[in-house]
Amino acid sequence: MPAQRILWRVARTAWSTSHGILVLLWGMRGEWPWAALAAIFGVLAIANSYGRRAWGVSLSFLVLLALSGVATLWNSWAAFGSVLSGLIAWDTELFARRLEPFLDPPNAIVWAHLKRLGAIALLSGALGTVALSFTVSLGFGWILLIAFGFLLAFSLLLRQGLS
Amino acid sequence: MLGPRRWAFLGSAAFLLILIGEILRQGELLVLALPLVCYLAVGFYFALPDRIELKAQRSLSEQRVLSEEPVTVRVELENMGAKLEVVEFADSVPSLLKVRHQHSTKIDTIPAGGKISLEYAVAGMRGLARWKDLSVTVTDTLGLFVKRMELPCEGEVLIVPTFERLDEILMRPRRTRIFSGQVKARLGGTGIEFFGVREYYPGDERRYINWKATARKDRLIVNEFEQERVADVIILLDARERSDVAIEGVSLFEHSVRAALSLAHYFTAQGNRVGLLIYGRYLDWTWPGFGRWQREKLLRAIASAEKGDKAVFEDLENLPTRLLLAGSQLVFVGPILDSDVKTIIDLRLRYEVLCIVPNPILFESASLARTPEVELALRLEHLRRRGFLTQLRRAGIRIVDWDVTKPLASVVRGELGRTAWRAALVRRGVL
Repeated sequence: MPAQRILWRVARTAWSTSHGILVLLWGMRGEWPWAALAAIFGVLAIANSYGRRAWGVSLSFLVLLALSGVATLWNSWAAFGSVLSGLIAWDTELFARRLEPFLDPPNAIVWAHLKRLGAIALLSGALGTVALSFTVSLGFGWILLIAFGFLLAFSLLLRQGLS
Repeated sequence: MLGPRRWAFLGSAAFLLILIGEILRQGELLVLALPLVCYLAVGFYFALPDRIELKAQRSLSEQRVLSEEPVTVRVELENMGAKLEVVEFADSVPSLLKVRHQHSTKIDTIPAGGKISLEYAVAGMRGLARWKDLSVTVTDTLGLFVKRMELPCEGEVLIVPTFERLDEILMRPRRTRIFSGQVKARLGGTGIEFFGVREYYPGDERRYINWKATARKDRLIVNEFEQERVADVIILLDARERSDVAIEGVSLFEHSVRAALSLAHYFTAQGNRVGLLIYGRYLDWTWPGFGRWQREKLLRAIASAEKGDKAVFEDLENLPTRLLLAGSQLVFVGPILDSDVKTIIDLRLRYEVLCIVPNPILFESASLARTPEVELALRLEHLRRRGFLTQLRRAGIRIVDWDVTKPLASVVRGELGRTAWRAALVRRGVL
């Protein structure tokens, strides 16, 4: 199977999983309007993967983040799983779209990308598990400090990226 | 979405989650930002090397081809630095070429000191196709860092349209050069064709003695032959947009170009000193010269000729006659307009003029529906055109009215060959 097709399969499966988790969560809790909303956006994300609108991928991911944010009120694990799966879907779909204009791109590139994404998923999963398993009470000042630190790190990374 | 945009998107989303989590004092939202932060952190860890050293080299299977003949282009990219995870390179194919086989873009990984290559085939109709730079985009696997560069990677291929080989054009320019060639010089001397008789001078070869004339005159008379020398020939290619006719993407100008190529090839092969002026978009002047090198220059210039609609070149009035060598043979190639007649007749005062005129009416009429109105219009146009061509012929200008559906070689042979020359002399009562 060509590597590009694998990418598309991974992307669509990941979109289905990310939205499926939310649908299942809300469905089991009897929150049908939320479940329907997640299902509709899931179908739209998958339908978009057959179209040409690349911006739709990022929009779908943003919507998924918002839905997962709401889902944390019911189950944080499901919300976290949904975001992780959504990140995989977003990345693989954008990569598959990037490879589309090229005739027969080498499989090595695709596998290298999937390996790195796998490493990110493992790292995020491990950190997320730790974060959700051990609850530490932090004061507002600490949280503000963490946010400031993140902002600083992000701006430094952005500078690096722009240079 | 690549590079900073990707950063901004993921970073903003993570920051928003953290901010909302803090505002609502809900730690789970902070956890949701973790995958995004991990993504950015891993991306940063595997960032691009500080220095990217790439070298591009291009090779073409042919330097000169005929129309629609494929040329294989091979571009090799050498990495002289650290390993590059994703390298996209796109070769900008000149507009006059079309990619026939494979793609002019490629994506791959280049190990340190490694090479990758791109190969594709192109073909085109006519012109000089030049490649300049190769666009290269280097990114990390996740696409968070991007570096775009243009690597110098030049190459060129000349696409010459197929043209006919002409076999005979008799011309009588007013002036010839001193080197022997195939143009009658209007001077007695050594040659092939009989020119006249004169008195014998010591040193004349005995085989040239005309015994009958000697017997009549009672002194030695020798035959003289017409000297054959090379001449100066200037080809004027009419590249004015207003004189062109284009139907369904096929242009009469292309026929003029083919005719000019045939003429340039013929005249240089005959050893003449040939120059070229392309009159239209701008004045594209090729100085007269001899030999194969000159023929190559002419072929390049003609094959790259483009039409133009500059107001200053609308009429032939601005033809730079000071560039044209006095007494040379001018060969005008293109459909003549009414407004050009006076200028061409004026040129006849200083030069021998020959016009190869692709017939625009026959060219256009081939695609017209034959209604009575069209037939009438065509007849009127033919008459009008015949009128000014006759006017030119009366001024001593030789005209080849060329129906482009017929081969130029046979038309030229019929109009400018030896037989036509004799027929003209007979008509004038010379022979």
